[in-house]
Amino acid sequence: MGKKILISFFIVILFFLINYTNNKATEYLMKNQPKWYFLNFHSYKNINHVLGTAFGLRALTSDFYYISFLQYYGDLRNAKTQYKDLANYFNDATDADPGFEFVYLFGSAILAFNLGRYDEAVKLIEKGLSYNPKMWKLRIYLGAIAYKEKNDKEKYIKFLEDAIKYEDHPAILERLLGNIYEQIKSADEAAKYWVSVYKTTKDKETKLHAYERLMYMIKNKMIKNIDEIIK
Amino acid sequence: MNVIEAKNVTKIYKPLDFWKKEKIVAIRNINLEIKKGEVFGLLGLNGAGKTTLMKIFLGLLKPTSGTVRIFNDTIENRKIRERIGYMSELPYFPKYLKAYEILDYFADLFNIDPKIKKDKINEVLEIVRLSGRQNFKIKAFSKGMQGRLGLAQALLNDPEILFLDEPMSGFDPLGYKETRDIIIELNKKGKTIFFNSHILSEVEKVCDRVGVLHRKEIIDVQPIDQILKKHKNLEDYFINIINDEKVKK
Amino acid sequence: MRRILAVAEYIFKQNFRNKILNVLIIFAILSIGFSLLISELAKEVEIRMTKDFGLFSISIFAFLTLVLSLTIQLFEETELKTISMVIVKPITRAEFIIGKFFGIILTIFMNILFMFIILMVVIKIRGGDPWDLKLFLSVAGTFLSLSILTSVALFLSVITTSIPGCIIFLFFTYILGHLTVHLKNLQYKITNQLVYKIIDILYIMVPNLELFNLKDKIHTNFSLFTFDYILLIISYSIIYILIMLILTVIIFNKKEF
Repeated sequence: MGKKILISFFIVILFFLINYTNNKATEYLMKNQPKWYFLNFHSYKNINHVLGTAFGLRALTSDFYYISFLQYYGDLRNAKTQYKDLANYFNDATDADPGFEFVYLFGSAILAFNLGRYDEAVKLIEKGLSYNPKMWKLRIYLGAIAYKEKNDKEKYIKFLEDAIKYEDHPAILERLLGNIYEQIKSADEAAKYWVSVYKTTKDKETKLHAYERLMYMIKNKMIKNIDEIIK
Repeated sequence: MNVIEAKNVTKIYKPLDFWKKEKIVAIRNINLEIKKGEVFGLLGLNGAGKTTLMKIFLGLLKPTSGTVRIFNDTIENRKIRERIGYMSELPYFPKYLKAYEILDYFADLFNIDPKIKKDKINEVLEIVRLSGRQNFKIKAFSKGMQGRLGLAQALLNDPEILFLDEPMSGFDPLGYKETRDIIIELNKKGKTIFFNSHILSEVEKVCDRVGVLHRKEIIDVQPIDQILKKHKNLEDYFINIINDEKVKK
Repeated sequence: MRRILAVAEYIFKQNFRNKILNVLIIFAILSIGFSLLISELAKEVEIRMTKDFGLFSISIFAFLTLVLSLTIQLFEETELKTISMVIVKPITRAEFIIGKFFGIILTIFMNILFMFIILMVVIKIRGGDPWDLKLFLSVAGTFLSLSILTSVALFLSVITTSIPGCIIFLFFTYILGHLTVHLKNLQYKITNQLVYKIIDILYIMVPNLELFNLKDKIHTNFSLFTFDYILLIISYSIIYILIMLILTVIIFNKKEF
């Protein structure tokens, strides 16, 4: 009898302890995640999101949104509609895993600098900043977007140049900047830039692009000091 | 001296599903005493409750009413369990393990001194005539060999009482003889053996006393020599007594 | 103690011989194959994806290991009936349950360890940093949650003898365990008292597995990977397992064979 009482007593103590640790840890978890991380009454509309949560694979869900974005963006048929659903992919990916920082960078770069959809880009940047205010690269983009909207090309380029100085910038920025150089700077300067991209970029596609641009420029005899640049 | 004493043991199984009300009486009012050093055979038809009774002795089932004492103590006591051996009916073992590994496991459960463990295992393998097979996987064992392995694990601790549930089922005639020899040999060493069986010819050859469990109750307990005085053989006695019961009812 | 170890060793050996560890080979092929595939698809985030997929596979295959070893144990107990021969040995039923618990988590631990090493190699090959503390903690979190699920599985196995029933319940525990935090977060919006209470009960009863799901937060910059948090979830898991094992032993003590 005494043993039974002792065990019941022990279980009650454990029960309080578990409730305490559970509450503390949950509090910690909630504090560390943005509001949109948690399911809400509208979550049922996005079944992948709910399933990802239930099976504990949000990060992977996010990855699959990213891959479907790549497919969507790579499909030229969607160019006709100006990739109108593009922002949704970024939104879904960052909803599933708010920590997927590359999506904020890549997404806003495409939306703003490639497609000129500033509102959507700013929205995505704001989402990223509300999640992690320390993502200062996004602030550089904001600057670039502001000047691009004003058509102040020099300052806009300055911001882009800043952006690609740092590691983990999306490779698309390198191509973007090169294309702008070709439009506004001399062919020699643009070629010089492409050579440096060709040498330093980590992205195969960008490397190929740089090579193609250089070849194009050489073929059409646009470059004056070929030897110097190639060196 | 009695090593097992059962008083008014009754077992009623509760219905499996809580919404059903029918209760099943497995055994009723069993009184039985087993003396030290004897070989006791419990006879009965299928479903008479032989296994139930043995499981109650072993503490695998709890009696609904009545008491069981082994060595004048309860089976719940770990010290008591160190002194008994048990082999279930048709023992099966996980098929990917080796015979030695299984005995090693049971030896650890008996807390046998690691120094003598190996010798002990070889000794019991010798007794059940499985030596040389200790590194075979169970997958390669026949039913009879698995049965003998079951017997081996029951002998690891040098038990004072040995409970054998249908020790000969699944054996071939040679297996009968071997098991019989083992039982006789162990009995000579002073061990008490309690077993169930319906292979009457074998029971007749090894038992000192037999009890008949019929329709959930023990209807007769007699020494075997007295039975053989009145009847041609055990089978004759068994059939007679069962038929008598039918007439009474 | 020796008896507990004997049971644990026996169960581990049995799992090992039943070739549960073969799932490792599937894991290796899957993670390497997938990593090769995505390196073609998404170049700029391939390390991230390799990690995500690797961690996901580890958790799924660890769960599978639990289900398989549970099936083997339950099959042996209900069909082969070897358990009756074990129970009459001088081992207490508590020792048996604890040994079983350690045997199963040892199997899971070995599986996770090997898979983790494979994952580290794949990450290294793809040019990432395999000695990432976050990666290690995520895997440790997976192990803790699986330990909790093992204790739940043992509890389920003593209250039901049906193998499929047990596995289905376990599966629901896994899913609910990842959702209770989200339900709790929604609770303040709910006016229905009954639903409110149900959420409270679920939140307390169901193991809060989302706490251990560090693999979903591995890419966060400022994060949960602090000493305090890790300490909290370790204590949570130990207490939960303790409660589960005590309840299991209480029921198992009353069980007849």
